Amino acid sequence: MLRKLSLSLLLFLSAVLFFSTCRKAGTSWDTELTTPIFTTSFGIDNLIADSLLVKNPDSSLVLVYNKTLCDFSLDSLFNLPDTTLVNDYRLPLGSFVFHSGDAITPAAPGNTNTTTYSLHGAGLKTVLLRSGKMQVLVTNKVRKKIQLNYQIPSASLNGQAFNKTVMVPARSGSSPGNFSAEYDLSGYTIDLSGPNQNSINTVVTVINANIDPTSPAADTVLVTSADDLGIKSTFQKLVPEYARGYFGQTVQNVGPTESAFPVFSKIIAGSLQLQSIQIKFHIDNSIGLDSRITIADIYSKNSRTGKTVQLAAPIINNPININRAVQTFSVPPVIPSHYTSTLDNSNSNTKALIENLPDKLGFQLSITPDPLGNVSGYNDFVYYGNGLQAGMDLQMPLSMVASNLTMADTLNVNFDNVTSNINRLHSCVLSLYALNGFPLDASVQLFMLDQHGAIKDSLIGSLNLISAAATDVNNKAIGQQPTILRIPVDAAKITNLVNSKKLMILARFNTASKPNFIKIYQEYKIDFKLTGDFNYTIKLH
Amino acid sequence: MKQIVAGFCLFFTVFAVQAQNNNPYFELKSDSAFKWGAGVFANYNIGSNAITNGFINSFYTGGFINDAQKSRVENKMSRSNQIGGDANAGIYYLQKKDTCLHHKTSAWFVSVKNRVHANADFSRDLFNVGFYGNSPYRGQTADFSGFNLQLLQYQQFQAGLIGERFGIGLSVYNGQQLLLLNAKTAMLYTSQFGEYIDFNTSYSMLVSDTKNSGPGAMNGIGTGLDFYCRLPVKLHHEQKGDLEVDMTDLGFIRWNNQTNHYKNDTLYHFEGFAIKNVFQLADTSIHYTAKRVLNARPAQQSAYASPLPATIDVKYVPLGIRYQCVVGIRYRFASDYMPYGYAQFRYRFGNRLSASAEIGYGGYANLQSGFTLKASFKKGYSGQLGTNNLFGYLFPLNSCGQGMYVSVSKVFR
Repeated sequence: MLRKLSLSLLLFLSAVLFFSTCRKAGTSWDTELTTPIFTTSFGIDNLIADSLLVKNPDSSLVLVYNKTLCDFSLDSLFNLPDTTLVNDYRLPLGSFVFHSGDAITPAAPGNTNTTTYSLHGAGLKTVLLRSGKMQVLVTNKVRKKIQLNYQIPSASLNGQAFNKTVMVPARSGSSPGNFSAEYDLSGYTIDLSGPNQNSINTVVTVINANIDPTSPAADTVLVTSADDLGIKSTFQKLVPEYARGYFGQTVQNVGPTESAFPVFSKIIAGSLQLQSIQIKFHIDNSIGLDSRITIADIYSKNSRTGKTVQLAAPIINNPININRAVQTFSVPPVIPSHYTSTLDNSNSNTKALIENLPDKLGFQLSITPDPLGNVSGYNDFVYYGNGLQAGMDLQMPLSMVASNLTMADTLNVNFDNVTSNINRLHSCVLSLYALNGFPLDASVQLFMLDQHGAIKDSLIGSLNLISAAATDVNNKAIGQQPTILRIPVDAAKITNLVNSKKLMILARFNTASKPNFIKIYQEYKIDFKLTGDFNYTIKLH
Repeated sequence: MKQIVAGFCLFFTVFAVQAQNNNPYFELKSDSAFKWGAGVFANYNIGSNAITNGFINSFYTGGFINDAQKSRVENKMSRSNQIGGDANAGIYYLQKKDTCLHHKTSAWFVSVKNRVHANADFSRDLFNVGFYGNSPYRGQTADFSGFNLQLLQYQQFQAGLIGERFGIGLSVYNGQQLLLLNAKTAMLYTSQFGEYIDFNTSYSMLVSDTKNSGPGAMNGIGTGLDFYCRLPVKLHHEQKGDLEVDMTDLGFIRWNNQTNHYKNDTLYHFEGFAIKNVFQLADTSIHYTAKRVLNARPAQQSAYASPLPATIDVKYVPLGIRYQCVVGIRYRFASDYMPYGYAQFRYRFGNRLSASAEIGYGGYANLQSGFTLKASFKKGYSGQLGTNNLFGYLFPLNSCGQGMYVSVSKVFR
């Protein structure tokens, strides 16, 4: 009986505990929620990188875009190739007994080697090495140690010629004695004019080899014609800091080539009329040689429309001669020479070039060094890091008339984590509050795209108007003009939104005061706030 | 037959509704004829001066709360509103004992109970924002200030003596769960067009060890006292009845040093997500805007002693064999409870069946009514079934309280 009672009590108690502590899941109710969603501010710096904008004293903005067309440096003139010199010393016939200190190598001038580099038309007299090294490998088949003296009389560092003396091990059995070493040549000045100062590209080396002079005098060695002394010298990775000579007349062609012009990358439609535009074409020559530059072509390309506009200006296909730089023998080591040509509405079609709204700029040019030949008598010079640059600086005052100028951006979205709850959102009304500080009418649209980029639906499909700010007599905006756009979103649109993979935001601008040009000032901006009124079912789990 | 009589005596101990739901053995009479007995009981009670039963039922049973239900609640709302409730279950054992320390007694007892208590004080605005949303408050401030919430779950191990005029029970409590939230200031402002939301709050919160929760959790220990005394009321030297004073749960629980203390004085300003460049969304950073914290400190852990929602019940019980008309007043401390005055009519149908009806005002649910049926059966079994708020079942859409209790016992002679 007691056991039955206990069991009954336990069951009863368990049931009561269950019902007193558990609430069934799924309680739900409808609510009307109002919440801000995002806030953003759009200024001209959101469209064009700060680095491209320059502010005038009146805070109006100028777009400045610099483009380097070519950079002609020391590398472009010549290269010192890696070179290996091989010297082999042996008896021509028979054998000979050598004593301590006896010379293995011939006496002067037979111990002197002259090597001439081939530098593809360049003739150098002097080179100061910025970096580089010489690797020496010696193979000794003589049964005595050999003292080797290696000299480069034409290479000096702080007034001291290159001079190294080493001891090469003797042959042991059938194994020759080997020696290797690597010498840093950084900072060495090399005279390439040869032993008689009348050559170019010539290096002189002197090698002296003797039987170990420290060995006892009575300690002789029999050397046969098979017992040679081999010396391999390799000059590696020589980079000049300075070179003097004649660099030849090899014509350097640059292009035709195209590069991205990022200023208008977001624009997908419409037109832009600019009040003025100026392109400064400049050449800066820091090389001690005369040059001639011929610009064959400069053009802008709009890949979207397929339209190409070629620059029509006096500099096109007219050779430009630029003088050599002046060597100062001080710091800085050169005074460059300059050439500048300014192109604007009066002497070129620069407006048309840029109003094409290009995404690419293309050009083709050639550089001819020393167009008059070796007029300096091997006294042209070049310093490392000092070359010849050609470029153009585009200056575009942001004074314009925009006509349906349309910008777009697409972003990837993923609503997978909200799809489980989205059926609780029955409808909503989005409100876009805009405070427009630009003297431009604007409209915005937002499209939902599938994974292939195809438009499936729109949140803001129809054209709308965000009114331009009021302007003063100078067409400068005064304050910000408020506009509210109401965007009803029904259940179907909500479903399409969460199923979309991409969103495309599109903005269209029109100058309100056409045909007057309006300047864009740094302080212009549009403030956006998006809020939502949501009809949402809260459900407790 | 003896067992029937004994069972009736025990079942009589639960004659009084409500106050002694958790201590049914306190009303045992000293002349009850039994050797020992045991019983089990359970009850729940939810009351509010605003939240209707229909609303509570939908909330509890996982249903959809429609606008009509919300509207009925809103119509009952005042600026400050209360809701509270308890769910209790227990078992007990009684052993007959005639004297103790030369005093006449009825029995000694032990009991084990599971106790759950919750109460809250909240504003109309809190309910409206929670169940209607903040859209109706555009351009206005929804004021939740003064909101407080208490949730207690603990187990009670009790032993004591039952006497004719005085009874006492000493308890040890195991604290399972505590949540105390007090929002001194809590104001939500939704701007006219929803461009921003400000939430200004100053609150303190205590939460027992969240890593140790659920059945069997031991997060605190406490002690308490239950007692009753019956004072004879005489008129012209003739006893007319008893003035009974019942005190329950006079004690506290000391929650351990893993109890989390939160205290914040904060203004949140939300303007949505900030997008740096709307035309370079793929690259731009999107971040939460303008959360401003004035004075916030991280959660600290330390021990905390919380008083239990003790109940005092004072009533006059006239002498009577077949019927009695009882009047009383009840109050619960530290639980947002309004003083509850009541009148109770008890009627006995022979020796096996009795009933009582009650009507009162106050507590959590304002106007309340109760009804209880009790019966004894063969072999010493007895039981009772009752409700603390009959209106809650008769008029669930508009009434604001509900509760039910049930008990079964058996005695051996």
